[in-house]
Amino acid sequence: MFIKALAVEGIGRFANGAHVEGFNQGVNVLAAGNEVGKSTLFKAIRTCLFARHDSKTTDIRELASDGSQLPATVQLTFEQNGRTYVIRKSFLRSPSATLSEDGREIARFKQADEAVWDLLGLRPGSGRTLDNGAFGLLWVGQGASFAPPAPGAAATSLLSTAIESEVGALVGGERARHVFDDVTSGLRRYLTASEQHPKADGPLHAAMGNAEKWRAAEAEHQKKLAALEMQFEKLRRQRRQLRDLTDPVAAEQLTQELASARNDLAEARSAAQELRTCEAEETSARHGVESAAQRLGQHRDLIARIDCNRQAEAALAQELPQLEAREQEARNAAARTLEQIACVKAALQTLSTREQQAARLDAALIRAQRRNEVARRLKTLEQAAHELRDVDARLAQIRVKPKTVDDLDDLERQIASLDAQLAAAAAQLAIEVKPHGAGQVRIGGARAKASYSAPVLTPIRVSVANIAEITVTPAANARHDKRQSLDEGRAALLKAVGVVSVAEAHALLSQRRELEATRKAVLAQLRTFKVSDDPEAAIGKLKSGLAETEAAIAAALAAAGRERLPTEQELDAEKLALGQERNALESRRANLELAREQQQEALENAVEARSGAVSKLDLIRNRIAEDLELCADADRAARDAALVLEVTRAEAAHRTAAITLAAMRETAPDPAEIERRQTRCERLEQALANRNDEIRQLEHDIGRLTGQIQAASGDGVGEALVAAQEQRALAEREYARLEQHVAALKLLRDTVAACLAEGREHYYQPVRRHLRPFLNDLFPGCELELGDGFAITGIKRQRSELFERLSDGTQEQIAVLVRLAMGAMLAERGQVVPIILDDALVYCDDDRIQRMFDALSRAGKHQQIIVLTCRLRSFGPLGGHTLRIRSDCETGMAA
Amino acid sequence: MRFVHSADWQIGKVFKQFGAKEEALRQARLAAIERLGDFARANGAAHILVAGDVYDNEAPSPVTLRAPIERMKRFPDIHWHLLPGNHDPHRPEGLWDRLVQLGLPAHIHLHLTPVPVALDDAAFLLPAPLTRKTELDDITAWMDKAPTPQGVLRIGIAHGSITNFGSEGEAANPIDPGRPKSAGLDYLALGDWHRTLQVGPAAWYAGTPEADRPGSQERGSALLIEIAGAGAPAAVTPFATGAYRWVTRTERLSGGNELADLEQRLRHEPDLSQLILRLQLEGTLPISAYAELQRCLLDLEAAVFHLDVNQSALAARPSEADLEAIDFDGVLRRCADRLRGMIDDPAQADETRRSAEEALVGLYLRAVDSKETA
Repeated sequence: MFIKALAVEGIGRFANGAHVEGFNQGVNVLAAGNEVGKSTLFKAIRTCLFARHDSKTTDIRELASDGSQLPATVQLTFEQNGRTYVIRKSFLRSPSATLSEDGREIARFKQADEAVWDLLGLRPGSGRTLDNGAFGLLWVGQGASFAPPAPGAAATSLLSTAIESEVGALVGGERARHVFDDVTSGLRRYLTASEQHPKADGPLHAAMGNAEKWRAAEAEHQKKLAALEMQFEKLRRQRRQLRDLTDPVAAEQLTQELASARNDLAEARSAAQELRTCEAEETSARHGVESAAQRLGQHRDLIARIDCNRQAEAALAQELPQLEAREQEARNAAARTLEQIACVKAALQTLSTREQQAARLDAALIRAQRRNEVARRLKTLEQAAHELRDVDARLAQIRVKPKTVDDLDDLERQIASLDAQLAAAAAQLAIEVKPHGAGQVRIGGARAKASYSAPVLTPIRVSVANIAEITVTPAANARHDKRQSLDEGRAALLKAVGVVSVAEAHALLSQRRELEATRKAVLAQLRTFKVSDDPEAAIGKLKSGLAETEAAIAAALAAAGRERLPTEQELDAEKLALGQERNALESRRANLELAREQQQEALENAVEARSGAVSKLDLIRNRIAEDLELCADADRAARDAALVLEVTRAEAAHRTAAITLAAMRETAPDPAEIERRQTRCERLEQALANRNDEIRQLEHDIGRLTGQIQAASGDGVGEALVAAQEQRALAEREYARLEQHVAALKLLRDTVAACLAEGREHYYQPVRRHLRPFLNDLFPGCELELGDGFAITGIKRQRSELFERLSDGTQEQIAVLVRLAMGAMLAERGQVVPIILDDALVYCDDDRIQRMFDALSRAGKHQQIIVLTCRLRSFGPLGGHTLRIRSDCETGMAA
Repeated sequence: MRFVHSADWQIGKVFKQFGAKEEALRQARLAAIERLGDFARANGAAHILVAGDVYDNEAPSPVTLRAPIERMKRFPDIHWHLLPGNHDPHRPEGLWDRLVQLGLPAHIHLHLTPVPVALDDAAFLLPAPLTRKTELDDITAWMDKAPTPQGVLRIGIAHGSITNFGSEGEAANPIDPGRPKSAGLDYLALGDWHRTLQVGPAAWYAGTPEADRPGSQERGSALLIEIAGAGAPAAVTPFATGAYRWVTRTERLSGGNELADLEQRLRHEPDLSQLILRLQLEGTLPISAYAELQRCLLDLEAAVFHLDVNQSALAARPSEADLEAIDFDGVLRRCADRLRGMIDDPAQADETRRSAEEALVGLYLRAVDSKETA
């Protein structure tokens, strides 16, 4: 097929009709801006060829111009099999269709619709559908260029026919796909999509879970059974232990051993008791001997003590008078020393009075020294007070103050300024006196010099000899009034301060400032004496203090009985003499005090010695009396003899008891033996108690174990274990069987897939052959990977890449290239179908688009390529034939 | 003196591989007790000796424990003598004590200690109960010196393996084959072997009353014993008690034509509905015949009580016709050829070859189905 011309009317924006010029073989480019109607024209071609003329589908309604009263008409001129056909269809209003062949109408209406399809090799489907075959594959509408080509049934048939004419059919491919799908579907029952794990709700997962469940159950029952076995074993051991413990022979033997041990212990304890009695008797006899001996000793000690006390009494009675004399002597010495101490204290008292007088004189002497200083200060203060009064009187006479002077200066400045202004504005009187006129010219009464020049501020009278009287009067000026006002103000200020000139005011102000400085100096002097502004009060106070000092000095002289104050040297000599006298007195008093203390101590010793001797004498006498009460001198011998006899008898009794005790000790068991028997008894009793406790514990444990065993046995744990073991074995076999089945399914699926891929690879060779040069234009060395139904699955460069993982631009470029290849393959087999690309190659970079243009140009050598684009500049380098849209308003639509 | 000798009831045995049919087999073991009772009653035997393994497990569930007792209670005129075996040894507080605690009727006797027990005035039973699963010593040794009155029958009952007599028995509990002679026994009733077997002039294994495994006793049975008096020989008469037959057949197949014969042979087995058939298939079959065999086995499985087929030794090898049935050419045929190559390749692992075999069968079935659909 070769499209030669297209005309439309009532279509989209072409309500008034338009046609496209410039169709040719090879590449045709319709480059126009957006909304020019390129896509509308593309849709119009499709509609004209593939839609029935009486169809009113939404697409056709949308294709018609808005509000147009005309039918939507498309007329397409094309060449097919060496003949030129014109198909013209009007839709929606007055629908019609006509088909002309080489200028001769050959069909109308429905026959025209179907005749075109016959020409293009298309077959209507069921109902009103039409599989547009290769056209659907090679005509790419706006936005569809990104999608990989997906041939419909007719296109697939066309492609297959083309391929099979070259390499033969792919035998069994469809059945293999069915098997593949069926096996894959079967695998999906067992495995997840990744086939890494059993599918969660699938039979393999269930079998695995089942096996696991029964393994766990088996382990659980095994554990219980093992526990039961242990309980059986434990019960057996405990029963044997109980049997051993409850053996009556052993029990009887233990009881008899205990009874025997208890008898032995009782015998030993009895013997020990007798031994203790003998020991007590022996001890008692020994105590009797000791007691009798003690009484004899006490008696003899009493006799000796009486004799000794009598000797001490005699010695003390002889010593007592000496002690009394020594005491009296000590008392006398102490009294003498006390009298001497009193004399020294009186002398010290007199000395203190004299020292006080000397201190008063010392104070008076200091006062006398301060009195002179106060007198000098009083004089200075009085002079300063006089000077202050004088300065204040002079200041009171000066009325000029700094502000007054400032005001006057200000007025002076204003007046000077005003004078300068007046002089500048005034006429200048200039007089040149010639030599012969010297002295004849007078200005304002003064003789004019040779040359005179001055401004005329006030009326000036100039007289020239007697020749003339000239009066020059300045013109009236407002500044003169102000000048007058300033003069009056200055005069008033001068008058107010009692001066006649500003200079005098300045002089008085200077005088005032000097007086104020003097006053400040006087006040500063007063402040050095800590006197405020009123010096008179300070002067009064100084005078009063001076009088008090005089009075105090007089009082001190009177107290000391002197008429004048001593000098400092005199007073110091007096104070030194007094100090020496005091030191001597104090030293004497200290010596006397020490002597007094020693005498007092000697007195106390003497008193103590005397009183001790008296007390001791009384004590001895009392003891003698008491001892005589116990044993009079007359009873001494008789009592001694009786006590000696008593001792002898006690010693005989003790010997008897000791012999008995020794005999008993020979026969009685020692404490170690008793303890051994005691320990044995306790041990046997403990053993018996332990045995009974153990029997009780064992009976308790056996009861408990029995209960546990009965409970476990009652649960049927053994039966449950066997059941679980069988279930587990069954489950594991089932799991293994399913695993084997899954492995077989995988193997079958993989084998089918591999064979299918190999077959497909061979089958697609023609497509690859046609595609290779196109693909090489853009992607050198790249191979396309095709799936079922010519689907592009990926490309292989260095490695396989999934198609959907490629960039949008690459996807589009590959999709277009595949279409070009398919078109080339069909063209080679006589199925020449134009390739139409509407707004394609959107994402091509500069390099890629050039290569795409190369590919399009390559395809254009075999078939017509129509490219619709809005990218005028980018598609310029594509070359080819330029298509133009012409409005029929200019040319008129071909009928 | 006439009595019945039985053993290895193994009440409570589980048959999980039978799925929903398990309960029928469990009930059959209980029904065998009733058949024993009926037989004893019909033949004037007052005693039934059960030589061990009354229960399959020493910790049965309460229902399992009671079930045989309830069956025996229906025969109060028969004395049932039960002996612990290696499956149900007597241990303190074990199942036998549980039975005692249940309160057994007087005609059910538990022989839990090795002491002579008078069956009647003319016969004494010398039991050798097992108190553990495995005894290293001969527990019948005590019988040699067991005192019994002069002139009475001495009947021994024990559970174990006759020494030096093969290894089919389950337990290692040894029993001296000379025991009947050394202990002066008129008869030694043995249990443990699931097969009726005479092991000496007066020593027999009774077998189980209801068969329970393939390759062993085909049908359950017991023994009727008649002894005229002390020293007289025992007349032993086996009789059938089992409901189900456990049959094992090994069949070798080499072509599709044998399938019909096989099916016929198997279908001629008596009491198909009570038949538990274990079929060992060996040989090689074309895939088409293999597929046909599977259909045939399905039919057979529906006919018998249970069919257990072991096809691990049966190989499916594709014939040329099988391959052509898949396709003459094209993708599937290449696929089939490739799988056949894997099956025939001895270098491939066994597992891979089995997978390839199953895959090829799967391919065959799918390909044939798709053709038929087409």
